[in-house]
Amino acid sequence: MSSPTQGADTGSERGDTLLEIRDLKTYYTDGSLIGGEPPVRAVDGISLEIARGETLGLVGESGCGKSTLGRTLVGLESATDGTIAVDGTDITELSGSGLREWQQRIGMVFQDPQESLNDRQTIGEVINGPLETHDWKTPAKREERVFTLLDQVGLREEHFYRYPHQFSGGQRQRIGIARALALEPEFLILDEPVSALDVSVQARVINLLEQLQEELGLTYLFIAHDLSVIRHIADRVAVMYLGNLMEVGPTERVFDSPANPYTRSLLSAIPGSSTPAPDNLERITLRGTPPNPRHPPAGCPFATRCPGKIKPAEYEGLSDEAFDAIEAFRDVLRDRSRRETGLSSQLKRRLGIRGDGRSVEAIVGELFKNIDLSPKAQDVLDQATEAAELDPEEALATVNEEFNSVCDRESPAEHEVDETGRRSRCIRHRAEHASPGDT
Amino acid sequence: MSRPAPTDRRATRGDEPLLSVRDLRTVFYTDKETIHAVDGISFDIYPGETVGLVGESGSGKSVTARSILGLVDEPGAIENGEIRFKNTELVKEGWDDRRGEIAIIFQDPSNALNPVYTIGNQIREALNIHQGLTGAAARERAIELLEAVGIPDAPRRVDEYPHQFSGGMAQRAVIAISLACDPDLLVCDEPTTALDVTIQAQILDLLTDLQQKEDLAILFITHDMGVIEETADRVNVIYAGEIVESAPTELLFSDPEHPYTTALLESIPGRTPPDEQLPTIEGEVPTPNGPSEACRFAPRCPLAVDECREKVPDTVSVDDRVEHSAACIFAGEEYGNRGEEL
Repeated sequence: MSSPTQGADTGSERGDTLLEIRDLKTYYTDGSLIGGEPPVRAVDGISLEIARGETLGLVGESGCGKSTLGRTLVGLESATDGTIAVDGTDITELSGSGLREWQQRIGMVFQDPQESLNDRQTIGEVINGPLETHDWKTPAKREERVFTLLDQVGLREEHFYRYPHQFSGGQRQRIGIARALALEPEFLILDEPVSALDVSVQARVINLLEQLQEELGLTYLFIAHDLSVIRHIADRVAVMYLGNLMEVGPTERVFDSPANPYTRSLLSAIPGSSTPAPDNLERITLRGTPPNPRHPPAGCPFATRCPGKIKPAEYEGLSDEAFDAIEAFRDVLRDRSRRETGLSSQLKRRLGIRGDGRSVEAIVGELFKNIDLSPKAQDVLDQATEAAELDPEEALATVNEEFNSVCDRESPAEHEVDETGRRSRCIRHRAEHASPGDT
Repeated sequence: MSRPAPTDRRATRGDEPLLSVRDLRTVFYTDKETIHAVDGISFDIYPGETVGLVGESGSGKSVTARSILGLVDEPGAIENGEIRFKNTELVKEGWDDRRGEIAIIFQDPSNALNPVYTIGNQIREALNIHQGLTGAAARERAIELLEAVGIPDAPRRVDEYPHQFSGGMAQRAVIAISLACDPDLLVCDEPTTALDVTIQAQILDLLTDLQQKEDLAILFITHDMGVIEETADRVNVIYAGEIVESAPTELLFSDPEHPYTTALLESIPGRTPPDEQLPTIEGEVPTPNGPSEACRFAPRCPLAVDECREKVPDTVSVDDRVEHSAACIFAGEEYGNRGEEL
């Protein structure tokens, strides 16, 4: 059933499309003209549609690019490549009044209600802010609008004259929502809107957002790292990792039978019995941390941590423990070669001074304790261990060459994984490999 | 009333508690008001046990942690109560003799580390103060500790600075520093709140692992019910400075007795079907700015009757065998009966 699609979002019964993102890339460069570091690939080729009236949940760990994606949609960051089509217009091309018109159609709600409100303005002034900036109607109409908004978000008239510090976290988030709604947008980007709130307060804000969506026919992009919240509020969910979209589909499907190894790992990590993860999903504790988005892996973005990584063809018989140990060793080498770019370590390398403390040999000894490798694999490992102390980069290249998985080489295409048009990026969806759930 | 009798580790241990807190009151004096941040709480921690303290922001859970460590500063003070650790009553006798035996890790590892010293330096400092280790021996031990907390390539990383560590790695380093004191009790104040869920899973695994290896007792403080369910042997629920319910973890989640615990559990999004509204608790956690005169949860409680607003509810034992207790006049009754009384 898994056939590659070229990023097309097909087979859904949702409403008409509000915006269509194609191969969007947002890179951050550090500004230096020559010799600077490679750019941070915060968003690295994402294709996605958002339908009118739906709530699209966007999940992923910190630094995966989910906030940058949101900010690019509003025009707060400029896209490096790709398009965002709204009613036939590419909004990445907009500037000046065209951009302001688009921005009027979007409201943004941020995570921290303590920091996103100006403490010297009354609540009335805070909510009136966007109205005044966009010169909305007359001052009298604006005031009337502010009172309507206060009522809509469950605040009272007398709150108009108070200051933000007089409000609790939940109330401040209501103020933030009122301000975002001021210009009657059709689309709200909610960036971790309930993460800073206590669970009892969080529940009320979520209920308010659901109620407002129904009343006003709003479309939501709901960015969050809390998967229980997403499970509750989102119609569809998009899972991001290292600037890439790993899986996107109807919330229920994604949570009940996650197709992508990353989604599976993420869901399995949620503690407690109220977890939205399926019962039969066993805890997968991932090794290490996501790679640096300046130096993403050449193949699959998740390859360095993936529990379902495909073994190299000539090592299919290798035990899982041995393969894990090799992957852990690569982590160490990657880490070393990344950090040994400083002057002093380069100098040491030139002069052939070995590092102090226990050598790579000790680490290898620990990692490969009780693990038998074939003579050829052992030989490569020994070579790499020998080289690692002085030149971790060379050692890494040696290991990479020998234990080269298809996941290291090829960037996975999107595969449609069920009849709802759910898509997942994983090489295991190809017919010749066991699917991610079976590993 | 028949209840399952869950196996409580305490029944079989028979040890003396490692830490025993009795009627602890920590008060903060400001120009405007006096805040009873911790208002008469009592609980025990036995050796090798993980006790959870769960509550919303402003409930007094962090002040409890700081009180146990003797870290309450002006304008706050421990006004009353006992904190007995081993044979020392800390409030009276002071913390000096027990420094290092109780360690704490905080939410934000980057605040706990000094940016201008290497990780190794900071561990060696702790080793020097608490265990008298210096020089090569201290360095060797520092590397061992980093390895023990799962930092790969420890011999190399011991010479790095905090900014070179990711959030999860930095929290591991903080745990390594706290282990350098060779503590018997580790107080964890929201140790995984600033971390991503996959990294949180790594740190929780690590804490469980260390606890088994070192026979550590842990006081685990968090607002996250899922985390507490997975880590704690028993849970104390704190509300506006008071412990409102205490029970073995499994029982607290399956048979909560206090209406606040029930409400807290219900508001977790995972427990409600997606197409239904989330149950909510009206109002906000009150600031305990006066002595307790009634049930502090009464204004928000769906079950409250006049009696709740007139007197402080006793903490009643629901089940002695497992030390399950709750501070509610309805505690120990089945929910069906409560409905009839209303």
